[in-house]
Amino acid sequence: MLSIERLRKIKDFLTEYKQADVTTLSVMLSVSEPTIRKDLEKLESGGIITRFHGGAILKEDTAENVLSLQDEIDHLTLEKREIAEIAARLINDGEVIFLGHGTTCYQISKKIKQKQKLSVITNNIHILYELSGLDNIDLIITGGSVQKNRGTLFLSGDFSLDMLNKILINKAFMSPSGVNIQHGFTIANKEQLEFYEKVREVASELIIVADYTKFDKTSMIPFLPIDTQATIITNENVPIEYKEFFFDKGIPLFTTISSAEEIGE
Amino acid sequence: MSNVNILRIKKINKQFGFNQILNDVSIDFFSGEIHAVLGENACGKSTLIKIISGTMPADSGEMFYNESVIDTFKLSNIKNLKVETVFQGINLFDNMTVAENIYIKNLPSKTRMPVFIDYKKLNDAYHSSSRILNINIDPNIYVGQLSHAQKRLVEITKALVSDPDILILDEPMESFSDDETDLLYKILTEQKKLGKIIIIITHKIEQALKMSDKITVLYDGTVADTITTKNTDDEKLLKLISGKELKNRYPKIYAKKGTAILSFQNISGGVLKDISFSLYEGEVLGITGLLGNGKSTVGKIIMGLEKIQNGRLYINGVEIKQPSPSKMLKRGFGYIAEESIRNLIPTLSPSKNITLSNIKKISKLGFLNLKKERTIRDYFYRLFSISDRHKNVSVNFLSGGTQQKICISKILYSKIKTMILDEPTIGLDSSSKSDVYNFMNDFVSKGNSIILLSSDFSEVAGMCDRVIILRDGRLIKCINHTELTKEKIILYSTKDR
Repeated sequence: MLSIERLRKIKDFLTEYKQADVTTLSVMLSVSEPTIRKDLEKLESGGIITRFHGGAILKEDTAENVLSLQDEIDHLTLEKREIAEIAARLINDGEVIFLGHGTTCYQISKKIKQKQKLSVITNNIHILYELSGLDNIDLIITGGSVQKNRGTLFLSGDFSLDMLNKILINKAFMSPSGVNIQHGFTIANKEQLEFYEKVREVASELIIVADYTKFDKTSMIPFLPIDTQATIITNENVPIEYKEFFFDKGIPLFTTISSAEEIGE
Repeated sequence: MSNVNILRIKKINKQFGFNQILNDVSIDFFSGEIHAVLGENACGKSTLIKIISGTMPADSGEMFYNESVIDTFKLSNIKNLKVETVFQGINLFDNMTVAENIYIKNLPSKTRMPVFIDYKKLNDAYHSSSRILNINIDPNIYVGQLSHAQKRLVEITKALVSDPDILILDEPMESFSDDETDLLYKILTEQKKLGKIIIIITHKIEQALKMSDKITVLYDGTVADTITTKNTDDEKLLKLISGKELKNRYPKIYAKKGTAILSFQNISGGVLKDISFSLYEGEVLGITGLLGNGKSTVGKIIMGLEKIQNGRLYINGVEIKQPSPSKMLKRGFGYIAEESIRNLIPTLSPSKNITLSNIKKISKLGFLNLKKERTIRDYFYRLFSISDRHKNVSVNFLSGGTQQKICISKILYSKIKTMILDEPTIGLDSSSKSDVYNFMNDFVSKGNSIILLSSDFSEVAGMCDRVIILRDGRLIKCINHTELTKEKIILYSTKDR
């Protein structure tokens, strides 16, 4: 069984029973107890559970947890975290960056806390929670009305547009809902379109972050043509024709290398 | 000139595997002219020559000689038309004399049956032709005793004595001194006046400018331009050869340099002369140059496959007297030689190949743990998203891209910290290239290092933190990524002095 698959099963089990012990999980998934312990460590570092001797319990839903975005609503957390890792390495100290809405951009915000000096502009409410109060990060939130999309909160509307008229951005990170060779990058709703077009105008570099499940999919609103001069970050299991397409078009495509657990010794 | 002969090629295409080597190439070659075909490594020059000389058919396109179509791309099909091609590399018999080599196709015989060579006639023939050609080499010396440049001259003479109508020379001035270049220039100018079509292949701008009347620049399999030599200069040609700057297509994360892990101190060995450099933790160090300029030797020296004649090699500050593959493996060095299949055992399965170099880890009391072997294979297949279809076949049935990934898996399984990759993407399709580049990023992000030996200048410009350029075995220049462009690499690797 893949480690990702195993993690999902453990999460499912925990959501249902709120707690679990190592022995049960090891029998259930027919892997050794040390492997289960490693898995639980991973889940704990993701903030989903608290470990105790011999097992783990699910964290309760608190206001804090809603804003800090529960990883459990998303079975692709590991993939997104790896994408965020690469994104963070492309950000240099002292830059002005924009982070769009969605869980992938949220994961990026978690990886940039160690940067020397950074200005972060965002319409992502969960990032507000994640990055506020840090000395090394100037956090600017666009105005606008709060919207909800698949469990995540973000700002959009005229107020947010006004604000973008006054700034310049080095690198803008955005996450479309679909990437398709024929239809280009697509997003889910119309309010986002106007906003992101504005971001693109004021940003000197566009970086598109999209996990592999977004590829070969199309959403309602076309946002950018597929051969837009951007940088793309995704996972290694993205369809081969996309790897080929972007390389041949001269568009840099970064893919994660799965950090699956060490080979069983 | 009364009648000009024209060799015309039109819309020539050639593809190898996934790679389109030549793309709609059209050139006209006129008699009484020296026509240079100029381009960087792997731009399709050599393939073009093979097609023109008839050693390899094109996939599509046409060839004409004086407006008549040449069937099946074989110039030899035309009556009374003599074509001579001198390919790169030496094709002479070392244990025969100069004169014997030159007249090998038509050795004068003492008897009717060609048993005994008539040396008197042979030498007479040589002297009469060498007077015309101005070549000053003793005909009775064995070819094995000659220098590389002299051998080239003998080969060119061999081509000329049959008085060809079309003469094709692939990199004729390789390793020539100024005198020899001048001599060749004189010879070719004479031949040109006799109304011959002369085609020279070269990657050096100076040579093209000096020798030719017309220059065709090939870029990535297409004709960038055909220009009259008088109307151009080295700057314009450099622009044409470099083509588009594709540095940005490469997914590259620049690294923070750590401490030095490997140092060359004035090392000579193989073709290398007095090379000094260091490799730092976390970086991709590119070593490049035109083919045959010594980049592969760097890898071989580190792994102990080529002897160090002079100088010192340090790993983590400790001098290594006699490196060997097993010693270096223990110190965390992995090496993937050019052509991935050579690093594997073709008839074994992927799992056997991956575990081979670290077989102790999967065996107990002399028995292999096959289940473990499969687990390890599955791990790497997931890591590099290799299709499950490729699990139970021997590796020689796999594509180049998959083979390369298995090579990398194999050395990764031996827990290495420094990887030496020799032409890791040559012949790979775009998606496998993309995989290899992203793997390189991931590998160095963990504080490991890579030495990338590559003659693909775009790749080197795009994927390296620093690049060392070698020419004739010497270190010419080291460029940091902030100042790195493909144009600069071409400039330093081709420009003489």
